[in-house]
Amino acid sequence: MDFQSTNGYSEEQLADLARLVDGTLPADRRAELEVHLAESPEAASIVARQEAALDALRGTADTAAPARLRARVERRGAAPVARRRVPAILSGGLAAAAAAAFALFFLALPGAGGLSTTGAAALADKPWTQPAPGAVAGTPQLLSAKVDGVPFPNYAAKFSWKPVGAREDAPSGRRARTVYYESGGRTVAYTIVSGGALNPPSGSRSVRQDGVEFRTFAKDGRTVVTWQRRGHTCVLSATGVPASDLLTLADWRGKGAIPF
Amino acid sequence: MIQVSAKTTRKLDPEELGDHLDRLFRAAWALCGSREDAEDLVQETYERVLRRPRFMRREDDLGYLYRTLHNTYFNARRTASRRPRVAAQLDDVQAASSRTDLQPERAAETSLVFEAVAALPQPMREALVAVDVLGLSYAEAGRALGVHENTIPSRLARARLKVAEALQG
Repeated sequence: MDFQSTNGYSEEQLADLARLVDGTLPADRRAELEVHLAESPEAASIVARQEAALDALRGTADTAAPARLRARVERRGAAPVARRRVPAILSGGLAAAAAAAFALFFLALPGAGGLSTTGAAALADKPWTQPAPGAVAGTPQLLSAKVDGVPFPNYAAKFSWKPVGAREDAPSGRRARTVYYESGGRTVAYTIVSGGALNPPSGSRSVRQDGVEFRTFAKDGRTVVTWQRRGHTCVLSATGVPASDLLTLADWRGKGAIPF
Repeated sequence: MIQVSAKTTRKLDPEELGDHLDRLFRAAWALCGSREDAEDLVQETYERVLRRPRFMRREDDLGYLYRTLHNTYFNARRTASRRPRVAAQLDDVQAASSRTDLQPERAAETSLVFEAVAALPQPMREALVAVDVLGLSYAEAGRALGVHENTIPSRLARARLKVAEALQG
């Protein structure tokens, strides 16, 4: 290691720089550290090099266990790998998905002044206008952003999806907040909409996990998962992220820290 | 008599373990730097875990699997280091992989990254694998490795810097 470049940095300072890179640094310390980074090329270099390593590591995330190992493990007694069932609409060919997305979009067009889940999912395509919310002190599974007391999860440490920005909208008079997360050059958008539950598109498929019904569908090339948390509609969507990964994120309870 | 409290412990469910196979395989590859050795290591880990019922306290399945994987790997290395060294015979040398289901460029990149991780000193390596490869939180990583969670992030910073340096060549 280039020890020269970290000379003069205490263990605590290095720890803060690591937390900054993976998004687990509390907001107040983050702001303080970002001021320091602007003044210190050495500290900025430590952050940049950590980010480069993290990007390289994230690039390995689609490496799967060889089939022969999977078979040996299953023979030994572990249940067949219980991959979440991905609705056919999402695992089929691109053309079929695009056609279905087109059909679903029109099936789910909101009525007079109403908001649909597809309308909420469309917020994901908009740019973020606010800085990323920080983690809640003492509860790293949560971000400080919330809608009517329903908080956003912090996927940084567990899944390497770092919060990078946020925005607020008022579609059809409702309050909607979206937090954007990035990992390996891909972006996931998580929207929470206030008010009564929004109906999912009629063609969406249902996946039930731990008592929660998740509805999945495709829209304009995006894979979308929608479900309810405390009566609020949540919409998680991304391009180029498998539906099974989105379901894993959507269903994450953070050991009970994330209220459903 | 050992009493197991249902309130604080839960039985490890073999039905759930298959879900972690891919992540555990990547962790094993990063720990030992060899795809082939990683396969053996993961198989050995699952065999140990499934040998008898397991009861968990405060730990999730992935953290427990990683702890077992980690202990299996480093115990085997310690044992091997105590054995007399024998020069390798020609038959012992593994042929290059004949697998055709890998994208060569992608596999080469993955291999380079994991070789860089495997070259790290043990404390840095095990922290980086726990957090950046497996996706454990600092607290989960600390529990899996038997260290305080506050020691994890600085080790992680040093490990990432060293990996970045290795990958830059």
